[in-house]
Amino acid sequence: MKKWKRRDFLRNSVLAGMLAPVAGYWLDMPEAKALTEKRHMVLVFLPNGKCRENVYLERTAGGFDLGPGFAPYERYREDMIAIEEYAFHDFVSEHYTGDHAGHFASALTMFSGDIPFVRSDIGTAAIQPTIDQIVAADYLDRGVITNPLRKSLAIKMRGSSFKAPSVFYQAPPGYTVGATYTDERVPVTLTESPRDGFRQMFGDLAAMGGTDIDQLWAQGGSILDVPGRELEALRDQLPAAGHHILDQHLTGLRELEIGLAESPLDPSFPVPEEPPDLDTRTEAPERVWSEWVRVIDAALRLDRTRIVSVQLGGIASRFQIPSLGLGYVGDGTGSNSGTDHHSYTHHQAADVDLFMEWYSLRVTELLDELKGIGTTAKADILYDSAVMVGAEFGWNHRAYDVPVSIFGQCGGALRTNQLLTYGNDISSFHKHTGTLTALVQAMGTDLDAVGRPVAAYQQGPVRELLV
Amino acid sequence: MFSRLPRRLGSVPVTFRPALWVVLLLPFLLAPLVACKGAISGPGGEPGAGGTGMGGMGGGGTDGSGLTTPRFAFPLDETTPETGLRMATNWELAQAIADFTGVAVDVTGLPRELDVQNLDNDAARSTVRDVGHMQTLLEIATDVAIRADVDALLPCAADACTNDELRAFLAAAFVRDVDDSMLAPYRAAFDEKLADQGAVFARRTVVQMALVSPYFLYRTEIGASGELTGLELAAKLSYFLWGTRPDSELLASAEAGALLSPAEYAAQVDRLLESPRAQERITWLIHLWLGTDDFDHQIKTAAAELPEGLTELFYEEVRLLIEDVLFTEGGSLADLIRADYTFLNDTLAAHYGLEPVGTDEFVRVDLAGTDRRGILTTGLVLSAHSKENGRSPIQRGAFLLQELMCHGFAPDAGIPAMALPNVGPDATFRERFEPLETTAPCSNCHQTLNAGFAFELFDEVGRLQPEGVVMPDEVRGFFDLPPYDRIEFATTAEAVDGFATHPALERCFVTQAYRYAQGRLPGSQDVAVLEALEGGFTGDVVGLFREIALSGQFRRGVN
Repeated sequence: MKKWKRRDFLRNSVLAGMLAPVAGYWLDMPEAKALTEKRHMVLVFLPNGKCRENVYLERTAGGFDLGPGFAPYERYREDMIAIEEYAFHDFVSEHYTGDHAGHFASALTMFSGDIPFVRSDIGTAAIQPTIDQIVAADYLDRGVITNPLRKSLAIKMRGSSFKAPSVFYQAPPGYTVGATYTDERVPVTLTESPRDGFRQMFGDLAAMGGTDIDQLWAQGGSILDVPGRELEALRDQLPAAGHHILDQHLTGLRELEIGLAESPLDPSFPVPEEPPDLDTRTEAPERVWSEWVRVIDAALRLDRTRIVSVQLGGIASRFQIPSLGLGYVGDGTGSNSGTDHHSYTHHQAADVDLFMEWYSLRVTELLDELKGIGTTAKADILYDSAVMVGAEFGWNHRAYDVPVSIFGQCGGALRTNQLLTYGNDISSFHKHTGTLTALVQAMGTDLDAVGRPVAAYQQGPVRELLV
Repeated sequence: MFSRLPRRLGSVPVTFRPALWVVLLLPFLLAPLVACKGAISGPGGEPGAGGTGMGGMGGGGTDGSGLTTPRFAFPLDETTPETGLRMATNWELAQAIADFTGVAVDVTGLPRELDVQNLDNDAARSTVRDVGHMQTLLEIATDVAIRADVDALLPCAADACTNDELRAFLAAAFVRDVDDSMLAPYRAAFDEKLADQGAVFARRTVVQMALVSPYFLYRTEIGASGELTGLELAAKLSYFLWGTRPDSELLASAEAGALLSPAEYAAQVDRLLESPRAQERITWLIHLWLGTDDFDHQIKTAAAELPEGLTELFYEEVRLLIEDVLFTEGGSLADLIRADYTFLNDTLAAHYGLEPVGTDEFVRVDLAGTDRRGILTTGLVLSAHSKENGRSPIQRGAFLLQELMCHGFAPDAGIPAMALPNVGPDATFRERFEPLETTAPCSNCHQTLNAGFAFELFDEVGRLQPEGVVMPDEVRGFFDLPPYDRIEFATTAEAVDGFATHPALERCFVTQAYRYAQGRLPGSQDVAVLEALEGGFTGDVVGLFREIALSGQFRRGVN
């Protein structure tokens, strides 16, 4: 495994971001292609997942049929990679034998490719960064995205979560592929409000007026050099256990400096209409999601970011969907009862299809927008995108048959319109890290591995995914 | 945007960011402990294992089933690394800014702290999380710089502030000595802005810079020769007892070198503890301990039918109860647990199904003759440890074990799925759980978890259950946490009395208070002081804070 290529002369350089789109300047460089091709990654996390009796897909003589929970994907077959027998249960069982803790392990393994960090019931988190943040950090490093404030858009749809504040975790400063981490990563801060997400993507950081507050804000980037030096001065005084605090803080500082150095928005920049201020606690989830779809689509189309991470609820979420009108389920003996997705996985697995269908409809709503369905004014940016939908489980609290779907060709890098069979056995678990690696490569990030740094799990990208 | 726990912190109204994931996880956090019901298994596939979920606790043992019995959460068998640096929590930052600049700030945009075993101030997990976090800190600093009275905050005799004037301001902001090298960049920025944009703007710039400085956002606990310096000790003490930077009197004591004398230090500890700010701090720790720091009734399925502002009413009841029991009456922690009165207004009394109190103001209400007793039967605690709907005995049992007693289970091995014993179709909810208390390995957990039935008369939002939902004899059971004596109960009051004086509860609270002071998990270096604190704890919470502050370990630096 190798450390990713760092374009040091681009690092922390706003100038690089301004120059990067000037394709001719880079044409003689091997990295130029990745730097200029516009590719998007969207990761969607579905809590709980499905139970064993819920069919993701069934092979037929002519191909495969999608199960009822995934039927909305039918019209996206040509843009879809369906993967059956997607499994990584060993990642889960390595640390856990209890089923509920498995929720946690599975969720954090889904996009990080490694078992999570565990410490006496506290501070449990991912031990490796998730691939969205690996690519985001790489894009920043290479000047593909110049503003760290927009390196990714991390979204959470309202729903309870089992302990972890996020399914997505940041790439630490100086992240090196293959590093064996022994501590937990820092979670990505998730945004619940479409309006807040919109402002993150389209807010104009440059001062627009002449008032003192604008000027104070405008000089923000320049004054941040001082705390950076102060942090370094503290380093020598602190024991080693305190250094990571400084490192993390410094990263935030440096990224903000770069973000604040951004030029004012060109007045001709077509800023979309701001979403309404929704109360995400009480608003129908369909409405909230629709607003998010518009923000995601606009942010990608207008190149405000290239990475989007979505959590529908959280780990083992008691995700409620009032519009389904589902009744209370429970056997009267336990706590896993209610009208939510999690309760249904415990007590009425057959109807988990209803939840999966609801999620699938939300995903296809996003796909429609990216594809430009229903309008001639929008180009098909799904072609430039890799939309990976993952989940916690495929069996009841087991990471077998996890319903994983990938949509979009990622600029021609992914081979869609195919069904892959991985295998629900331990010898196939490396295909999980291989899938994540393939996606990272499709995005143009030069890595040959991600996830658990153990040879058995590192056998390169799944070649069938790539063109 | 809803505001969580709006309170008056000193004279500064502060609201907190609604960390919804924490609100929402609370009921679920406890759910995994429902283990032995065999409801989770793949048809025809591998059996689902029983739930365990709580990892790596110290102590305890196994009965051979592979599932360990409850163990104390803090094993104390290894030295805990110390960072020497502690970032202000959101609350602390809001208070520190307000105290230093006179400007009340909105910290709702800051990401919520990453809790460690309920507490929000673990130093190793407290830093700038990401670029968005840093941006918000800069926004706060900019907002304060523009709103602050810079003439008062950074007084200078002339437009061009002298080095001494700038140094005095920075020393006050950072609670540390400011040498020439620290001063230099502020001097340079001031001079540049003075020339370009005038004296006021230059001073605002220095204020802005100071508020995003790590010297303002963090406090060091480094020390020299094993002891914190006077200024470090002042800061640590003030943040522990008041949740903010040292006031002028404490600072003066530290700067004069007096604070390092035992008598002066003890006097300052007592002075701080006598303040209402210490009461707010202790109240906040109780919320963290009880897991009620981030509740919002909107998460409940029945939210639409609940009184408007119910969350605020819940918090006000608990605030008044803590204030009265611990600070006005001088009662003990046990008294808070088993208080036979509370504070209600008409709305909350009606919600509880009690007689009207005749006013919208909160008044003391005698609970004699009711099923409620103490802080555990307040709507806030009952609701925070319940599902979004439906009966929740196991969540509440898990709350008793995990939060109140600081115990948990370790997932050393799975247990096989098993069908519940058939107790008959007419069995009550309570009766269906009974076999779990006596059948290993289920009993390992359910000998404590089933104690949640003590609160079964109350629904998920703290109301009395509707008639017919809970049979009269369902509120019964025991709480068996070896090596401590078993608690047996047949009423809520009996259970509460047992919990109130349970040694594990006292040990848990002492440990959490000590953790809050130190900002880290306890380790082997803390065994002696914890044993002394536990041995001397009589339930006097204020006294406990005093003893922690006076302990040698509190005053120790990493150098």
